[in-house]
Amino acid sequence: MKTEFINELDTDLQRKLLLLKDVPPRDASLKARHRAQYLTQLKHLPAMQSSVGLFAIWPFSAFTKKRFASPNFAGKTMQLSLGKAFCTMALVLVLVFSSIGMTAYAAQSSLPSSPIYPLKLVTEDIRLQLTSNSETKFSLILAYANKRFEEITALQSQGLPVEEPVVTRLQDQFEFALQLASGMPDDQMSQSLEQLRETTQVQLNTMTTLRENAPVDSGAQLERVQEMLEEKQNMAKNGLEDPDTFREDIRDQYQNGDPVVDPGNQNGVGVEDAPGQSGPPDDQPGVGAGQKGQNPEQPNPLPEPGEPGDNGQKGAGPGPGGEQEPGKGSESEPTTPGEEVLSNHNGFYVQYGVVIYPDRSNGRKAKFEGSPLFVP
Amino acid sequence: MQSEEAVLAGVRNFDPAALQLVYDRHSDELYRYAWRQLGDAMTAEDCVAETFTGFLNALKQGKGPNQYVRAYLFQIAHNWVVDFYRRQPQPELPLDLTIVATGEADDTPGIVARSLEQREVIDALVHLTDDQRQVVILRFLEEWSHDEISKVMDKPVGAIKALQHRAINALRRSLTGRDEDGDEN
Repeated sequence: MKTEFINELDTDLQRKLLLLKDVPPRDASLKARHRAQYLTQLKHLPAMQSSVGLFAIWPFSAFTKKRFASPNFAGKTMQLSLGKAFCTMALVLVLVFSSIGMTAYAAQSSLPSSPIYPLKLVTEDIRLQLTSNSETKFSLILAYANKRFEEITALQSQGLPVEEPVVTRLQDQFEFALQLASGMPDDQMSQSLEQLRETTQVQLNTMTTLRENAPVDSGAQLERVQEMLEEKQNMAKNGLEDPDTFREDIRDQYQNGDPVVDPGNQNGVGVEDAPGQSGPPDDQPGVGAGQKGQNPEQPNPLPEPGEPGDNGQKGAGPGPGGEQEPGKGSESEPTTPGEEVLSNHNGFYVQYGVVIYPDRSNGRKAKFEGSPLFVP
Repeated sequence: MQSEEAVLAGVRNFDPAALQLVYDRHSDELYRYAWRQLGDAMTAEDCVAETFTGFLNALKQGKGPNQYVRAYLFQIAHNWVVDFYRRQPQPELPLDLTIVATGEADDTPGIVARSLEQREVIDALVHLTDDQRQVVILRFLEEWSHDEISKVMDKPVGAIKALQHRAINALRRSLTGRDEDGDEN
């Protein structure tokens, strides 16, 4: 029997207290009865809980904090550490994804002049990519075309120049909408083309006001927008009047090397080789460089990213009205020396997963490749 | 043998095996603890039984031990004893003195004398404050460290030592009639 602590006491007190060291043995039957009662009470307890519940690993609840607070509690301390590590990791992921989500959300209202604008385009592309229904896709692409137009008007109202990529993207979206419509049954196509016609009409109406108030340096771009809108509207009207001819026109236009323009899914028609490699079908010789055409009225805003593999080999086929203007641009126009060659995806330069610029300047042709962002 | 940590985890999860182990591991020492303050086997058994009932009730209410099952049980038992004495207007020793077997079967007078002395010590303990009594029993009879006692009483070790010092002086005066300096009262 240990008596070390009691030795701290003087002898008389020790002797007295030691009298209580010996306790009469428990009555065995009474002890058994109480034990049986206790075991019966156990049956009325809640069902046994999982030991790996949320509370077991969540270090911030009062319950768990108290429970695992002991520094001597080696096993639970380790569990606490694991729980903390797990929660920390989860929090980091949540913060990262929420940051990305918030940035992507913020990007939705950004203008082309904003650094997060490319994210807006990427999210649009992703959404388009995930949409399989052609009618939904058509509505989506028209909505995006409206967004582009709103961006143009916003830039104008802020006195900022309307840059080429925005106009190009707007054009791409209308072209894709027309292609989508051409693949629909007659009734759906009529409905879609009517919708497209109305959209272009609304935008054309706005264009009048825009051009009146436009600064000189944006005049050319706005004129191009207006021409493009009128052209697409006419195509829609033609489709409403003569669907078969419209389909043929679209087929001719885009099957002859001019790619199907799906800003969200460019893995089909018109997929090219890697930048710098041989480009589109050889039956479109020398016309692709038209996209590099340097229109004095429309200064190419894309000198920065270089012209990857664009020595006339990767130029898109001559789409309607897409012929290169004489003397403007050259199919053999070399990549600007010293410029960094970027990946060309979906008609946009992609560097480090970020869309930089469309890879054309005249707005008539587009060269699309499967985007690494979307290709499995 | 399952570690205290594993038992605590089982208790928290209402694991019947862990709860049964808790009873088997601690009921005897709780009985001794109760008897040393109550001086009566039946009352001590009641204390033990109600201690475990209170323990299960606490668990059902989402309470229960945070770190130490043993300390938690002793705290329940201590509160039971305190309540027991508070229910009585005058601290009163049970009438039926328990004769503690010491192996000296033929020494009946000695056994009786010893039992009377036990009663005297218990009586002295009962007249201590609740905290003083708990410290004395846990420290000198259950052989708990100051740190363990501080956990069960939720007081700092310094306070436990102060309680112990005052309790010993009180016991000394009560049992030996002398104070700390050896002077007779």
